[in-house]
Amino acid sequence: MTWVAWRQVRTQALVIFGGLALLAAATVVTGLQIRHVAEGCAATVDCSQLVGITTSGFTWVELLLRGAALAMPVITGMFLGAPLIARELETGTHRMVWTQAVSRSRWLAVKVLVVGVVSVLASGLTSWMTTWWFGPDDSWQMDKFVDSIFSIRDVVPLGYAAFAFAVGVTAGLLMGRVLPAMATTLVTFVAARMVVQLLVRPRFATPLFYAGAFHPGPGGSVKDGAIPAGSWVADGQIFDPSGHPVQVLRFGPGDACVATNTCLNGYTQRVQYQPWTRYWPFQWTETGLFVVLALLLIGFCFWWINGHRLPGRGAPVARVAAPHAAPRVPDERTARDGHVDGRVPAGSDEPRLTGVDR
Amino acid sequence: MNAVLEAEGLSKRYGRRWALTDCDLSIPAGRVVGLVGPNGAGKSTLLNMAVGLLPPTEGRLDVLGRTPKAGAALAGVGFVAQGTPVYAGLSVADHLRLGRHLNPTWDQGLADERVARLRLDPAQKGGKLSGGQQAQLALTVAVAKRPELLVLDEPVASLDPLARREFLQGLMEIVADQDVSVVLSSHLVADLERVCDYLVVLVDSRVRVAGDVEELLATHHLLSGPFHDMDRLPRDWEVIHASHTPRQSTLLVRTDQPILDPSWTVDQVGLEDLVLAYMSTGEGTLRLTGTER
Repeated sequence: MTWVAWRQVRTQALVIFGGLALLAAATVVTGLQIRHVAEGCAATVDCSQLVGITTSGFTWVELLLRGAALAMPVITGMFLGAPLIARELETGTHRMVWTQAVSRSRWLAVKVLVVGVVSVLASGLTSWMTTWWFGPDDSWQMDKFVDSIFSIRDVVPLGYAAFAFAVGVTAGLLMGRVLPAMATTLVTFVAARMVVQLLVRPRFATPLFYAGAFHPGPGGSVKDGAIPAGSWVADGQIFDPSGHPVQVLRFGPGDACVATNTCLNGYTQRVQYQPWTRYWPFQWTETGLFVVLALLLIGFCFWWINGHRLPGRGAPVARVAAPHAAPRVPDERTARDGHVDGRVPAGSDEPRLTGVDR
Repeated sequence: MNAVLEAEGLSKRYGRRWALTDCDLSIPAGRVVGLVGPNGAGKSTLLNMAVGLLPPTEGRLDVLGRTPKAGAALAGVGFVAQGTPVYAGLSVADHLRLGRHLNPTWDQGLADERVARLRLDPAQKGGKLSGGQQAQLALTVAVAKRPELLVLDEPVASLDPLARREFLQGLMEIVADQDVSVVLSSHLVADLERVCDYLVVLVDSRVRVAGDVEELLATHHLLSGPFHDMDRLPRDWEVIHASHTPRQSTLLVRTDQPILDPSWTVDQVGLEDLVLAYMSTGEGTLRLTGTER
C-alpha cells in the first residue's frame, strides 16, 4: 500500500522537491556570502553592508524565499491534499481500489501518512532554508516576531502545511471533485491563517504594557531599552502633554522647540507588546493549534469514509452506445436496436446517448 | 444449492428515491449469472452493495457467506466497476503492481500471461488505452486476485461491438480455466446470451424472473391462435405476456407441461424476447416474434 500511495504522489512530489532543490542551491550560494559579510560586520560593528546585501544584492532570492515560505503550505494542500481522495472519486478509481483486499481505513491511513509527510516536509525544508538565509538579517534587525515574518520562520509553516493538507483531503472527500476542492482549500486556508494571525495569535498570552516618555528610537517608535529588543509591538498610542491621544505630530522648522530639541518634552506613550522571550512559546502554540485542527479534520475523514454516501459517482454521465445487433425484422423491438431499455425512443438508427444507471 | 450471493428484503434508498426495494435473490455458485434489466432498475446498486461500496438501507445481503461491510477489505470477490475505471496516470505494469500490493492472493503469472495475450503494452499509461483495453485491464486486475466470485457491473456498456466480443470471449476463457462464479450485469440481453447460463431479470428494482437459461427457454412458449378468453386457459399456465386482436391472441406462457391444445401454434421463444416480455409491463405493447422449432 505504501508503494501505491507513493506511486500516485511521485510526480507531484518530484516537481515540488525539484523546485526546492533549485531554490536550495540559490539559497546556499547567496546565504554563504551573506554570512561572510555578517561575520565581518560583527567584528567592526558596521552592519550597514548587511542591509544592502539582503535588500538589494539578492532581492530575487529574498522574494523567492518569502514567496515559497508563504505559499508552500497552501500549494501542497491544494495539489497534494485536495486530489488525494477527490481524484479517485472523480475518475471512479475508488471503485477499483476500495474493492481490493485492503480496508478503506488502511488505504486512507497510508495515503495520508505518505502524502502528508511529503507535504509537511516540503514546507519544513522551505522554512528551514528561509530561516537560515535570513538568519543574519533577523539577528541584526530583531524583527522575527513581527506577524508577517513570524509566519515564515522556524516551525509554524509545518503546522500550516499539516492543516492545509488536511483541509484539502477533507474538501476532496466531501466534494468528490478536484477543482472545487482545491479552491475550497485555498479559501479556507487563507481565511484560517488570517483569523489566527490577526485575532488569535495576539491572545496567546496577555500582552505586556509599557507607559513612559516618548523617545522614538531608530528601529521603531519605542525608546531603546524601554522594552526588550526583538519584542513584537502589537499596539501603541502617543499622548500629548495634556494627556490627549494624538495621531500625527506637527512641528515646523519655525517652532522654537526645534532649536532646543524639546518638542517631545511631556509627550508620553503606551505600548502593548509581546516580549522576545515569548517567541518560541508562540511558535509552538501556533504550530500546535494548526496540527490539532489538522488531526481533527483527518479524524473526521476516517469517520466519514467508512459508510457515508460518497460524492463523485465516477462513471461518465452519458456515453455513446454504438449500434449493433443487426436488425432482423423491422418491428418495434429491433428499432430499439436491441436495447431493452423501454425508454429509448424507437425509430432511430443513430448512435445515441444512453444514461448510465447506478 | 450453494449460493454465492443471497439477498433478502434488500432495499436501498438514495435520499427520497428507492433504487432497490425488497429484493429477494439467491445466486447459485459455479454459474455465470446475467443480471439484466433496464437502466435504473437497480442493477448497479445491487452489485455495489455486494462488493461493499454501498451500504444497504434495509434487508440482508450475504456474499460468499459474509455480509459485505462498507469500507472493509474485500478478499474473495473481484469487481469490475461500471465504466471500467483505471488510473489514467499509471501504466499497465503499475496496475498489476498495485493489484499485487493490495491482494495477498495475487497471481502475478496469471496477470502477466493475460496482459501478454491481450497484447497490452506494460509501459502504456491507463489513460492512453482504448475503452476495450481499459476494460480488459480492469478485468485482469479483478481476476488476478484469484476471487471466488467475479462481479462485473456493465463492463461492456461503453465498448464497440468488436471490443465487446473480445471482452466477453476473455471472460469465457477465465470461466473455463478457473473455478470462479461470475455475476455480470448488462442492459443488453444479446451480451449476456453468449456467456451466461443463469439469468436474473431485474425490473423496477424487483426480481421478475431468475433461473437457469436452458430451463427458462424450455418452459416458456410463444402461442398464437384464434382469440382466446384469458379466463379459460389451463391453470398451470403462467401468462407472462398477452396481446390480442379481435381475431387473434398471442401469448407467452410459462409451463412445465406440453401444450396440448391444437388450436395454438407453438413457437420456441428466444432469450431476448423472453426477457423483453418480462420487462414490458403494459399489455400488447410488445410484438413477440417466435423462432421456428
